[in-house]
Amino acid sequence: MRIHRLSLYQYKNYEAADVHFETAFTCLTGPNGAGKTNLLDAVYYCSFCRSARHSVEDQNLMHGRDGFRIHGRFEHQGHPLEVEVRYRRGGTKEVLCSGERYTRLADHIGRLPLVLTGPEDMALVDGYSEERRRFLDSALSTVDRSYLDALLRYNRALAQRNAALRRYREGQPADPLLLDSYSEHMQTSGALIQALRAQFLAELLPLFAECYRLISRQAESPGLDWVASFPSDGDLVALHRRDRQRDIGAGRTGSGPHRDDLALLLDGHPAKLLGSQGQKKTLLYALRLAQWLWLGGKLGSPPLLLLDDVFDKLDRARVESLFSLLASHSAAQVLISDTNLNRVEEVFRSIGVACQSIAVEPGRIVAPA
Amino acid sequence: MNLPSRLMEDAVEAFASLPGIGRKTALRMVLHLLRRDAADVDRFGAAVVRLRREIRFCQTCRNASDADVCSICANPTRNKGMVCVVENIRDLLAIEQTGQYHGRYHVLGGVISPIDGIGPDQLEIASLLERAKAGEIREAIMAVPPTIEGDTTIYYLSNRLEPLGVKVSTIARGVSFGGDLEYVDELTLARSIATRRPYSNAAGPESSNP
Repeated sequence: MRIHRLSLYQYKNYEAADVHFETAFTCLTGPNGAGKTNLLDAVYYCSFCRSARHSVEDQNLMHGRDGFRIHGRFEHQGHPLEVEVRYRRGGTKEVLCSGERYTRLADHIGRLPLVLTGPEDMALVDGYSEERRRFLDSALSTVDRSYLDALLRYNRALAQRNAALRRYREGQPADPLLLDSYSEHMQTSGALIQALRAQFLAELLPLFAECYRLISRQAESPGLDWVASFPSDGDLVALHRRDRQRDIGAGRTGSGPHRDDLALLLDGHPAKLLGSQGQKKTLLYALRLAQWLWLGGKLGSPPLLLLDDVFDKLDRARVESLFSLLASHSAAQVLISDTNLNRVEEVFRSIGVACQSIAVEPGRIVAPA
Repeated sequence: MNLPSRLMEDAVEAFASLPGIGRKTALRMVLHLLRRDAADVDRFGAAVVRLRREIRFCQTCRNASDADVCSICANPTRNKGMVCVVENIRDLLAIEQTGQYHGRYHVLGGVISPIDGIGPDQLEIASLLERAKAGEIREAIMAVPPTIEGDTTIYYLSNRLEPLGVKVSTIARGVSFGGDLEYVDELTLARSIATRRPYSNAAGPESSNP
C-alpha cells in the first residue's frame, strides 16, 4: 500500500492543502496545533471512511464552512486507486473509489489497509478490555470475511439476549427456551470467533516479541495472554443456564467472547499494572508493529503505517531501532509526525535512510522543508 | 402546500398515511378521484371500509380470509400434513405465487425480536402448537428470513414442535436462479458451498415437493 498524493479541502484546519509523498518515509514537522495529526487523520479517513478522532462529521469540517473533501491517490499491489470523500453539512457523506460511489461504506473497509498509532492509542495498553478486543476484531475483519460475519451475528444475538434479559428483570416471566436459543447462536459464532482469535494471537506473539526486543534492546520478555471468559471447547449454553438468574438481575450477559480480554505481559507480569511508562509505550509500538507485519504477511504487501507524535512515546534510541526495523521492509511506506525537524533528520541521518520532510504551519503545508 | 378545501386536505392526509405515498402523490390521487364519477368513488370508499370491517383472519392459519377458514385451509386437495411457517401474509403470497407449494400455511405475524418488544407471546405461536398437538402437522417448513431473529424463531419453534412429532425443515438458502456467480455476495456463496447438495438429489420441483 502506497500513498502518492493527498488533497484536502476545508477538512479540519485546512482551507486547502495538497501533499505529494515521494519516499518510503515522510515526516510531517511543525509546532503543536499546526495540523499534523489532522493530515494523518485525513489519510486514515480514506481507509476507514471515518476520522480516527471525531465521529461527528461536523467536527471534521473547517469552522464556519459547509462541506469538506478529501482526495487521495493510492497504489495497492501495483494498481492505482483513487479515493474521494465528500461531505456536506447536515447531509450524507459520499465515498468514491476510482470514481465509483459506494452504496455501503462497509464495502470499502479493507481495500486500503492501514495501521495508525498516535497519542490516544495508549488506551490499547492502559484502557478497558474493549479497546483490545477492537484491536483483534479490526485486524481479523480486515483479512477474514467469515470472522466479520461471525462477529456481526454474535453481536446481534447478544443484543437480542440482553434485550430479553432486561424485560425479564422488569418482571416479564423468563422464557428459558428463548434465552437458550440466543446462547446457541452465541456458542456457534463464538466458537469460530475464539478459534480465529487464538490462531491470530499465536501468529502475532512471535512478531510482537521480536518487535519488542528490537525496539527496547532490553532483556525483559513480553507476552500476550488471552483471558477467555469461557474455554473455546466449553459449553456456553450450559454456562449461560447456570448464570441465568445473575444475568437477569444484571440485565446483560456476563459470559462469552464479548467479555474476553488480552493481557499484555512483561516477564510474566501484567504490564497494565506494573509496567513503567516507557515499557508501556514500547509495548504499544511492538503491538502495532506486530499487527502491521501480520497484516502485511496476510495481504501480500504491508499496510500503510501512520506514526503520530512518535517521539512523545519513545526515546531517541528506541525511535532509531524502530525506524531501522521499518526501513528493512522494502515495500513499507511510513508517515511520521513530530514537532522537531532537527530531531527527526538526525535520526534518519544516523540510520542512513532517506526521509522526505514536510513542514506544516497552522492550516497549511509549506513547501518541502 | 395550502389546499383550497378542508375536505381535500383530509383526503390528502389519509392517502399520505399509506406506506410509500408522499404528499405530492397523495394530492395527485385526490385530484384524480375528484374527476371520477361519484358512484365510482363510492365503490372505492366502500371497498376500503369493508376491507377493514369484514376481513377475517383464518382460524387455522391466520391468513386473511372472507370466511372463518381461508380458501387455502378449506381446499381439500392441499396437503394437510405439511405447513409452511411464514412471517407475514406478504411472504405467504410470494410463496403462493410460485404455484409450486401445495401444503398449508401458518402466519406468525412477525419474528421474535426482544429489541423491538416482540417476544414469543406476541406471535401466533400458541396457535401453531395447538395445530401440532391436534396431530394435524407432519412437517413444518420454516420460511422466515435468514437473520438472527429468523433463526431464533426457527430454533424456538423447532424445540417446541419436534417433541410433538413434527418434522421441522427450513427453506434452502443460496444462489438465485439466472444470476452470475461473480455477483453473488461472498457470504451467500460461502454458505452455498458449505451446504452443497449431491447432484443426483438436486432435482426439479416435482421431487422436492411431495
